[in-house]
Amino acid sequence: MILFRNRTKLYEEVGMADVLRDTGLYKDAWRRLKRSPAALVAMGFIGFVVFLAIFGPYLTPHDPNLGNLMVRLKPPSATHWFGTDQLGRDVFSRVIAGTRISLFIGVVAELIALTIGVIMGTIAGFFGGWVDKLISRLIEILSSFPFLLFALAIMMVLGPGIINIFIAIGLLSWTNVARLIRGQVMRLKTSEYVMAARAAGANELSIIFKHLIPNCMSTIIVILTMDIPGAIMTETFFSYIGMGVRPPHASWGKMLSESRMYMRTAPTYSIFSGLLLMLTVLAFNTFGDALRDALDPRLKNK
Amino acid sequence: MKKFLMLSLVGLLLLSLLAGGVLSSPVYAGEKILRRGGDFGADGHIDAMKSTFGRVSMPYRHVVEPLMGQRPFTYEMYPLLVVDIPTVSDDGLTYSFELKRGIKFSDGQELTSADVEYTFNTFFDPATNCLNTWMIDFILGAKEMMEGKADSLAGFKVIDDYRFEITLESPYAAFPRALANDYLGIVPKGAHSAAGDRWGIDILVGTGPYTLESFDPTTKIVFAANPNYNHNVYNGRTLKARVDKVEFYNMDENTRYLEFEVGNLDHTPLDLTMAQEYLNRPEYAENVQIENGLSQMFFVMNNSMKPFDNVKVREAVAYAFDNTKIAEIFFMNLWPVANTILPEGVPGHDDFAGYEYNPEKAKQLLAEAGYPNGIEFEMTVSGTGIAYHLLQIMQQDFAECNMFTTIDQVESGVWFDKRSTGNVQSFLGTWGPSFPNPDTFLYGFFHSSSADFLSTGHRNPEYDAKVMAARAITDPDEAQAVYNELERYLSREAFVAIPGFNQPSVFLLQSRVTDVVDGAQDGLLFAGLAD
Repeated sequence: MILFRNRTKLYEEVGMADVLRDTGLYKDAWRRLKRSPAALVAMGFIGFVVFLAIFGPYLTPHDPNLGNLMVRLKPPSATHWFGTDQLGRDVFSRVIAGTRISLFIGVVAELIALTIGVIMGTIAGFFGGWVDKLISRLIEILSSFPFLLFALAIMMVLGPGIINIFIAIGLLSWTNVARLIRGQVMRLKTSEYVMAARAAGANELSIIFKHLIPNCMSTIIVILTMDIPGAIMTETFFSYIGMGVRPPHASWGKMLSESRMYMRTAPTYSIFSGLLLMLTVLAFNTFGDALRDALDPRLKNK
Repeated sequence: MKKFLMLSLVGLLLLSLLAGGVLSSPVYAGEKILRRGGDFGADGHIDAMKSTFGRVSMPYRHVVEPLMGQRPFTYEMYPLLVVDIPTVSDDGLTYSFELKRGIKFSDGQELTSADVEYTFNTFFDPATNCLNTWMIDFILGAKEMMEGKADSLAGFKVIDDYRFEITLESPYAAFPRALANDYLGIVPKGAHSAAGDRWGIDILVGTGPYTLESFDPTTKIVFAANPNYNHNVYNGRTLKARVDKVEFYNMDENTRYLEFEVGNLDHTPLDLTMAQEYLNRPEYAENVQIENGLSQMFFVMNNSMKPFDNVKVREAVAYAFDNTKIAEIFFMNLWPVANTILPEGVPGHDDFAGYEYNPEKAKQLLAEAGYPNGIEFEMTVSGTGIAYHLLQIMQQDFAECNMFTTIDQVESGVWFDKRSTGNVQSFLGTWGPSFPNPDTFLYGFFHSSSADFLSTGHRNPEYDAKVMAARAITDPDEAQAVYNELERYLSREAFVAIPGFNQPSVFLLQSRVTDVVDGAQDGLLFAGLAD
């Protein structure tokens, strides 16, 4: 019976509270993560980008969509820190406004993909049989199309716009998530605690939501962190080819697309949005990589 | 050893950059090659029957010639494949042509009336999907052919191998001039029908000064001089190709400028922003060429859609469109303001001063139209070119006038589909004739038959009748008066569209290019290269 008691209290009762400490997976992961300076820098940068995205409207010194033709394509100055674009809009304000849109699209599109992927992967892995075969074939079919071309075809049908980018990325990106979760659920469903829950009379829905999905959480977090930059890059691609956010709104891809023609005359115009895009993608990848290591129980004692 | 390998690798990399990253040296193995940069070949073919783009018609014209010739910039017409300018019957309906003897296509076949008849039948054959039939769809029987009710053109009559007649539905004084259009080139009957889908891809045969040597849509089109070309006589001088080859490149804009700067390109169109930069650089200022053109850009409102079905609303837009500010600041006056639909030099044009940007007046007109709180509408654009930037500037100005807009940026296929079915609410349209012909604007763009295809939504039978009647006018003063009346109706009474800008041609040209203007529509067709 003592196996089911609070372990910290148990250690106190047996007088070993000073020797034994119960930490838990996430506490251990955080401890391991703290040891990686690159991960901390990446995390800090992501925090900074998120801050920009949330508080952007209060930080922009100028209206990002309002232009003044008298100050077209100006280099950085005290008034316009990152210079101005071809319509005399403040590039600094547009970079910040673009951060909000690019990050928002990256996170929301990935959450959509994750939700579909986790549900499909869990159903396939848990029920097996013809359900698994059906979902697995669907995953294989969707994965066989070149991602960007297929996404482009969806965008051509739906038309440009933020919501349609969510749909295009969400509809196509869930397959990788589903594949990983399916494998994990197949392994977990034969584990002892799932069998115990089953023996205790838990129904399938409760097993899935109370036992299987929580135990896949570390995988889900890593997937989310690793796939967000991919979604941001996809948004950038759509905006670059003119199928992303509608003008005059800014996103990093749109700014890169619009500044392409002025790379020689106003190089700073394209540099800042490109730099922020590059650093954000790098930060998410570095952080995701460190998080994967930190959440891996096999690396617990390393 | 490692150091040697590293150095070799760097050397190889540099060599590959020099060899593949840029074009080869301007010394072309003893041959004079004129190199032109652009997006030539981007459509995957160079068949002008199936295109409305200059990037197709320009290379096409090097091989395939129309019946009439036209001098660039002055638009002076002269007989090219025919002996003389065609004579017309007293009723103004039937034109008689006589072909020059001995003109040969590049496959060796002689040009005869049968080839001209075949070409005209091909234009109107629905299977061709010719996009330029509107230029001459007033030929008798053209509409029946396009509707699939006839197999051949009733208005075309072959007299003998060199003589033929063309009869029109109704008189059209500018008909011979229309035949100087690059899109209406004469193709050889045998070679064209045998080529099928390969026409304009790897087969292109014509009477022109060049022959097609190779075509790769992703890189370049190569034309070689046609040594047998000798029928183009302008002002008593026989025009011939002055270079051994002409190469048209398909390149990204920035690459084109870099290639021009290192001397690998002789000619490239120039973006307006870059034009200002090159004008400011002394070493390139003289390479920037600006030629006045006949193309106009105007703001088109779909007259059949709300809120533009109300003339007061359209008038309000005239006061909300600050084309003067845009021309002066954004275009740096490289694109001048246009206050009329018909550009300067075209019969019907006058010196109207236009409407000043006046938000209060615009708001007042909107209120009179029943929109005291303003209007909302959508402006559609394809790509990220000039119109994309202009619409964003206009969006800001419109908002000051209680006109709240969204910009619908769509892919070119979606744009064409939406526009050609009359579903675009408003857009910036560009239109221009190949010679000073008001009919190209008045009929080609604003006639009721284009109301859906060009999303103008403009339908006015009275206007249509006047445009058709004006085609028969041969007296210049009468033409000026009638066309001016139609112009006033479009831009000042019904406000069908709001004039914006005139579009000159801006390009970079190497100083080694000679004989730029000659007897052809494209000013570089007979250009040479200095030794």
